[in-house]
Amino acid sequence: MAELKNYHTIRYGTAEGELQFGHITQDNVLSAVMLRNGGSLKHYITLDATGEKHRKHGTICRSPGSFQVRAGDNVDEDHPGVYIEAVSGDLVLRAPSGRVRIEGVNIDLVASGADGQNGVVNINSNEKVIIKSQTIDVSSKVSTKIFSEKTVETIGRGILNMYGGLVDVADGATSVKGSKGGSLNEEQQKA
Amino acid sequence: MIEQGLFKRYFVGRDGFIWWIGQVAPESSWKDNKAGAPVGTNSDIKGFGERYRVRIMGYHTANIDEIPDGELPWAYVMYPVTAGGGGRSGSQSANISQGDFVFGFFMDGEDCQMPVIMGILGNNEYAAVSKNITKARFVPFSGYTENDNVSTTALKTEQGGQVVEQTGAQTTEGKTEAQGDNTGESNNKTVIEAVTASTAIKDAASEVAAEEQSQPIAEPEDCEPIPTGRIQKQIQNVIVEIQKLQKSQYKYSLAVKNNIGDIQEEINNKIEKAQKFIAENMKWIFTQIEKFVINTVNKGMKKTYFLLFPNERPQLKVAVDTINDLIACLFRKLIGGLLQQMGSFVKNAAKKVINAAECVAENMIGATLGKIISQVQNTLNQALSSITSLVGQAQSIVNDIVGTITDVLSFLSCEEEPKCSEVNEWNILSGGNKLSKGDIESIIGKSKNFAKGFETALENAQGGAEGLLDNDFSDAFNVDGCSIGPLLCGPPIAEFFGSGTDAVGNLIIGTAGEVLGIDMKSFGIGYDSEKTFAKVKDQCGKGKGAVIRPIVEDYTDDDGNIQSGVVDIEVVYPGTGYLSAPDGSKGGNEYTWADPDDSIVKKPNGDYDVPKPPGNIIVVGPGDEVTIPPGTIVVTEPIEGDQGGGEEIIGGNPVTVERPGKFTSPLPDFNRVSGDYPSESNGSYPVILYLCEIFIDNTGINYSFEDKVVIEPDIGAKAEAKFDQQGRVISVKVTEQGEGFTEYPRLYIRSETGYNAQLRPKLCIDRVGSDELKQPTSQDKVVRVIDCVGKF
Repeated sequence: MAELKNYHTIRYGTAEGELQFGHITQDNVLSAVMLRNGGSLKHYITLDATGEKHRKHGTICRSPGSFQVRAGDNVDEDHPGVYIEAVSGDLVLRAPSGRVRIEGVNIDLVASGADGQNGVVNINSNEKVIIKSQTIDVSSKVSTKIFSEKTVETIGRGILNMYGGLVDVADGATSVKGSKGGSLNEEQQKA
Repeated sequence: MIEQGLFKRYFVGRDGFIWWIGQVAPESSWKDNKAGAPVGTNSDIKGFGERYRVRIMGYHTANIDEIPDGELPWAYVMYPVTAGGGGRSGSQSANISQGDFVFGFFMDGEDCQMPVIMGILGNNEYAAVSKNITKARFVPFSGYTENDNVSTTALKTEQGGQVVEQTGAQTTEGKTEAQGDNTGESNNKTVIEAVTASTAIKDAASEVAAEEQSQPIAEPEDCEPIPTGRIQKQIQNVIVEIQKLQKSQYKYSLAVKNNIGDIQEEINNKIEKAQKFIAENMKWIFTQIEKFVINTVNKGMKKTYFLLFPNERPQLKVAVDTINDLIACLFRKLIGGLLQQMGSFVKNAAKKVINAAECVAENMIGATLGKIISQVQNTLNQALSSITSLVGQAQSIVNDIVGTITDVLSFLSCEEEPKCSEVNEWNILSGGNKLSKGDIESIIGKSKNFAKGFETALENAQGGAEGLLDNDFSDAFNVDGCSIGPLLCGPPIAEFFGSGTDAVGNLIIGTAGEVLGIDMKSFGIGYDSEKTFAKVKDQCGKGKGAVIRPIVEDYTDDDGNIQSGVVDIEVVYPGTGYLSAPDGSKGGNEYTWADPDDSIVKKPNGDYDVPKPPGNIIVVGPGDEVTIPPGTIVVTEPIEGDQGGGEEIIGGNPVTVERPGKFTSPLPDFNRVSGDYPSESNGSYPVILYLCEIFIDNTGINYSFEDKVVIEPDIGAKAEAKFDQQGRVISVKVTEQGEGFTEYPRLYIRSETGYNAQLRPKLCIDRVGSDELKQPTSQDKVVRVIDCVGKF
């Protein structure tokens, strides 16, 4: 009983490609439907019927060449031309040997978490993050920090305005001797 | 003709209905009848569509000299009613190839010039089908021409097989006189194409599709300060890929899946790709260390700022800026050399590592960081001298900074952010897993040890710093407690991930290689039923398809505390092909590196040669460690120049040879009587399984109250189902548990009315004492479980 079997497998095919219904894969999963290229070892689409949660009733599209979707010629503005939704679970986009490119008239990146741990946009880079635009607004509800271990440079080639209800500036020297007034920045420098 | 003229009515069926059987002629005689590619108008199509030349038995001879293929009649094709005839764009194409045996009738009765093909008599896997077109006809030959590429879905992965030659014809040899010796070699007897293209034979494309490697998914650096798991996974992946390529020289089943002419070039490509991936991850670590170093230096230097008057501070600022630049420059150069370094590591790993355990990645990281530490210290010593000269009293501060840098890795011990993904490894087939985070304390310890070995003079970081990271990683592969050699393939292990720690158990494997259950040896602590996942991991990748889920419950530990642990598993799919006991093969990384009949040679420097199947010449040198299959003995022969030889190598255990020599890898006799391995004394124990619970995967519909649960085989077990008003299964109670399940039972409900209920058994275990085992009636109820806990 352990090894899945199906005595009603159907195949249509030629040397170039085939369509199978109900075959058992080499990793012992029942594939309800499989469409594959006879000229390639890894070119297929399968609709699986058994296996792990993601695999059972899941779809795998595998191709050594690119996987392309072009759609939406007739779609109205503001309607999705291509819609991909992970009903539960994560949406993972990987390009371990290439770029991830996102292009649009506008790009919305929205993280909406229900609690204090979620709703985070994480941008990690091991070389450089470049943001260029005609105007850049960085706005936060509570606090904004710009931090570098080495150097922070703020340059306004025309004008540099720095405003604050109360302004507090401290340098490294205050970490030992301290200033007259004392401030949060100064305390941070001493830390 | 007079008779025909008198009585022939020229209506199909009214002049008699004449059947025929024939063979479709080679396609060179009919393919021009079709266009072959879309054309502008029908004037570009030479023929009339779906027509084939057919050599008809009893009407045409098998001898092509008497009737050439080009002179055979054209046969039309009759389609089934489901195919359509072209009207309203309804049509199907015929799927007829050369060599096919077809049958039909003559539309023109006894004139026999207008054959119609009604059907095809398909091949079967035992039919002797020649690869090439035979000189004589009416012999099965391949539908592929010499120009064609055989479909990857029809390439068999195993050589050999039986064929049934054509018999029953006129001669004693079973062939007609015309066929004689002109029938060619049957192709499917030895290798290549599965002649039916059915799904019954394992094919290359299907096997490749089932061999997808897991890939690491990147996480934010707060979740993964040292990407040890990612590096380990990439090492594993490249090692397995290289091993497959190397073994394909000796094994047909691998060669058919790797149609590569220049294997070394392909291996180099794999190494290049892997070194890039590993270097990317190492760069994350380097940038983190850079951050720590700059932070430490700037914090230390802040203590000097107050010593200078404000008018002197611009000079100080320049000095601090220079130091920061120097550090940044050093790391830039270190990172610049990473790619080359990782290439060196991967090349070494490919020869030395069969099982890329976590410690391999840790050792590599430790070795690399060890060198960084000493180099960073040296650079800082030089760089901080400018501060010392500017601020006279600063020497002690400089010493403090340099001293602190030795703790460069301690910052990596920070706790991970609470909201990190539980899954950071993905396989499109088998799904998610959690990569190891690595033992940071262990890495720190290793890096400090390695650092001692890197006490070399550092060139000025501002000057050419090529070779800053020169490191052959030879030490990284030779660390006590880090086993990188091949593992003995045995039963799979259960992995629990997502939350909690320390749950371990021995999987129980049935007679058909399926997972029946688990014997938990430790429930572990801290498991969350919503965030705990389980996988069956086969170290050698022999078994496939098992799906298990953990059962997380509270239990009272030995100290009387309530803990949440994995107390059992559900077997969702039992899978197949898992080993219940070691079979002599070896491997790791979920790949079988050496088969039981392979001979293995390990070089004195730790490099492994590709395992050789029986019948290959193996040349050995002094110090080589040779392992040949158990039960075999070889004596080495002298190599060229009559050197060495004459050493006896007894199979089963590694033997270190002292003289050069060569031998032919022996073929073991697996029919000999072998001992019960492993015996109870070396790690196995018996269990008896009973049916303890039945899960409902699908309630089904329309069952009635008298419907019965069927258990196959039942081994004395019985169960009763309850249904709701709509006939859905709402519960199944095990009324008799049975005893002695050795295979996964099939459960269903026998019903005149119901549909689609899916039930799944849960087998529980009783350990059996040795006394009970002596009873013959108990023996066939016993499943032996290998105690794997702590062995892998």
